[in-house]
Amino acid sequence: MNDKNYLTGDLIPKPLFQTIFLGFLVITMILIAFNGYREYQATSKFFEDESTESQSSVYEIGYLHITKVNHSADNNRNTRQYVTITGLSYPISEYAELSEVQMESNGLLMPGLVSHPSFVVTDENKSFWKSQFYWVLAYHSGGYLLLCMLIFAATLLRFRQGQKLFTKELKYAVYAFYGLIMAGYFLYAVIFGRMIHFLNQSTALNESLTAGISPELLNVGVVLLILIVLIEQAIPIQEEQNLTV
Amino acid sequence: MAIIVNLDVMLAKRKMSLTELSEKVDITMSNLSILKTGKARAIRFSTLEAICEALECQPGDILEYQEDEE
Repeated sequence: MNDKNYLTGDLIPKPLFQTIFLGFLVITMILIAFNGYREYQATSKFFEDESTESQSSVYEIGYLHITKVNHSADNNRNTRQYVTITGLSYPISEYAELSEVQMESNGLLMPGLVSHPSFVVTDENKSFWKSQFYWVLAYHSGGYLLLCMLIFAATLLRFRQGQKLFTKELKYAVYAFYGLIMAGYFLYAVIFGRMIHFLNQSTALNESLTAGISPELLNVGVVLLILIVLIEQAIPIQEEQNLTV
Repeated sequence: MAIIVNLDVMLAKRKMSLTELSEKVDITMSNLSILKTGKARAIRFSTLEAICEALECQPGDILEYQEDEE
């Protein structure tokens, strides 16, 4: 009688599966880093190129969108750049009372939707907008890369521990995830606040500096904290199990 | 712990090493070591059966109860 049960056995050998899975994570990390570098180059090029070949072109990272539009008047052609920000909480104060000339002199081109204003990119503020794009790019790419590295380390640890689940190392891995999420939460608020501070100073934006504080990452952090508490309770039970032969 | 494990006594009687026993019963050295040093909190019947079969003995030859001196 054939004792091998194909329903409960492994489809592929476990070491092969683990190698493939870890290899997939390594490839993902390389792709994230490469993509981040490519985005950095594209951002630089977009800012540095004085004109655009098409009538308009748009480039975006996160909540920042930069648009280049060619204007032609009396055989003169020039290109203007605008940065649009999405996701603001409050409308531009008194924008309805500002004339178009006043809006442009304030650096505010068009209010658009009440939470998606656009701002003119001038020679004075170009370096700021460029650095803001770089910060947002670094936040996204760096964040995903760190997350992937943590997942790789945690997965490698799990594969080495075999059947044991609730260990000190798992607790430290969850602590590390919690630290990354909370760092991301604060960093997002700081980067967003930097931009709001600049716009409050240079235009009539009048937005709260705390507009960038979003609860999503905080919610994830709270869930991870609860998980840490559960793991702390489970580790002694696991250690008891480890001493069952 | 009130239950004493006399595994090393049986191993000596059968002139068998812990490594040989580990290979015979397909239990890891670390688990057997936990048992031998008295750190084990529990033992499965399947483990006890495999050890008794390999050492040709009874469970009572391996496990002994001693009252705690408290």
